[in-house]
Amino acid sequence: MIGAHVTDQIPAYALDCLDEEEASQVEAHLAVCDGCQAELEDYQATASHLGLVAPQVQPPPHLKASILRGVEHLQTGQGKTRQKIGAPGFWLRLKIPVLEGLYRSLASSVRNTGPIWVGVSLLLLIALAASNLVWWNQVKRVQSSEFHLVALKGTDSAPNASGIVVISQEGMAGTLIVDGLPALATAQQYQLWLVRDGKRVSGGLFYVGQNGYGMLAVQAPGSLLNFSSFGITIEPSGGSPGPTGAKVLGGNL
Amino acid sequence: MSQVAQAHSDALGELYDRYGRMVFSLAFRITGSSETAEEVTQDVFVQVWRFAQHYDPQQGRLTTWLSSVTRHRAIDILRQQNVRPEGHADSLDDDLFSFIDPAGETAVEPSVELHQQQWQVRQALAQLPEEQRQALALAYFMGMTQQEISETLEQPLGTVKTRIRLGMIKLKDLLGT
Repeated sequence: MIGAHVTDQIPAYALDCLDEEEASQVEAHLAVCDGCQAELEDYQATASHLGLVAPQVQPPPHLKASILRGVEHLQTGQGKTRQKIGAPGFWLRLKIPVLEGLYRSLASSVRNTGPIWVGVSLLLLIALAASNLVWWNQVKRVQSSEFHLVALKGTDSAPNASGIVVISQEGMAGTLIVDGLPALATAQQYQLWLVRDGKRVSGGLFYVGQNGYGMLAVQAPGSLLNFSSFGITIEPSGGSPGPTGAKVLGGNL
Repeated sequence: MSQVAQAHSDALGELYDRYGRMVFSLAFRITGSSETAEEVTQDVFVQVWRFAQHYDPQQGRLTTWLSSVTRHRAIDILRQQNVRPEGHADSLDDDLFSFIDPAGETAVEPSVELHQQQWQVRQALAQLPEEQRQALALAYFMGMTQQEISETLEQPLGTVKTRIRLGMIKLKDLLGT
C-alpha cells in the first residue's frame, strides 16, 4: 500500500472521512510520495471551501471582548509550571511504591511542620538520585528481556520534555510515554513520526494533560523495528500527512 | 497577520471583526450550540494569536486556514462530548438548498471578499448532483466517516465512496483549487 498511489482516496482523506485503517494507509503513502502530497493540499483547499456556505449567524456581542481578554491573560500569564522527570509526581505515576511512600511522607511532613527546606531538599536529592538509579536499572532489565526501548530527548522547542517508546520483542506493538510536554492550544495535537530512509510515517496523535504527561498506542505499517528513529511534532488537530510543526522530541532506535 | 504575530490585540480585534462571524457561523453550523460555538470561536482566535507567525500565505487563503481550524476544533469538541449533531438527512438537504439560494441573502451581510467566495462556492455546489452534495455535507459538517454516511443514508459503502470522490473532484475543478 505504501508504494501504490492513493489518488482515489485523497479526496475523502482531505474531508477526514476515511476510517482509521484507510487513513493510516494513505498517510504511509503520503510520507513517500510528493505527487500525492501535492494533490492532497489541493483537495484540502477544496474541502475548506465547504465551510464558507454555513448560514451566517451573528456572534454574541460579548464574544470579541472575551477573546481579547483571554489573549491578554495569555500574554501576561506566561510560564506554566511543567512537571519534569524526577519531580515527585512523575514517580507517583510510575508506581514505584518505595518512592510513592517517600514522597507522601515528605509532603505530609512539610504540610504539618512548615517548610524544612534543608532537610527536605536533602531527602529529595537522595530520593532522586536513588530513583534515577532504580529507573535506569529497570529500563536495562526490561531492555534485555522482552522489549525494545527507545529513549526520546527534548529539543530546543521542548527542552524539559522526555519520552520513551516501549516496543514488543517482534516490533508489532509499541507504546509511547511522554512527560514534560506543554499542553497545546485546542486546535493542535502532538503527532508521532516513524522514520525510515528519510521518510516519515505517522505513528499516531495524542494530547498531554496539564501535567505534561501523555501516552499513545503506536500505530505502524508493519514492525516498528523496521524504523530507524522516532520524532514528535506539533500539528493541527487531526494530524498532518507530514511533519509541519516544531519538533519537540526525538530518538533513534 | 504579521501584526497579530507581534501580539497586537488591536490587530487581533480587527481580524475578529473581519472573520469572527464566519468562524462562529461555521462552528454553530457544526455543533448546533451557540455556547459551544462561542467556545470554538475563542479557541480558534487564541490559536490565531499564538501561532500567527507560523501562518504561511503561500499555503493558501486565511479563510481556508480559519475554516480548517474551526471545523477540526468543532468536531473535536463534539467527539469529546460524545455528541453527534442533530440532523436528519432530509433536513440537511434542506440546508444545502438554502445555501445555494441565488439571492444569496443572509441575516448578516459578510465582507465583500467573503461574500464573493461564498457565492462562488454556492454556484459550484449547485452544479453537483443532490446525492453528492448530501454526502459531502455529512462528511464535512457532521464529521462522519464514509462508513457512517453509508449507514445513515442506508446506501452501499461503495456508492458513498464514489459520491464523495466524484463530488470532490468536480468541486475542485469548479473552484479551481
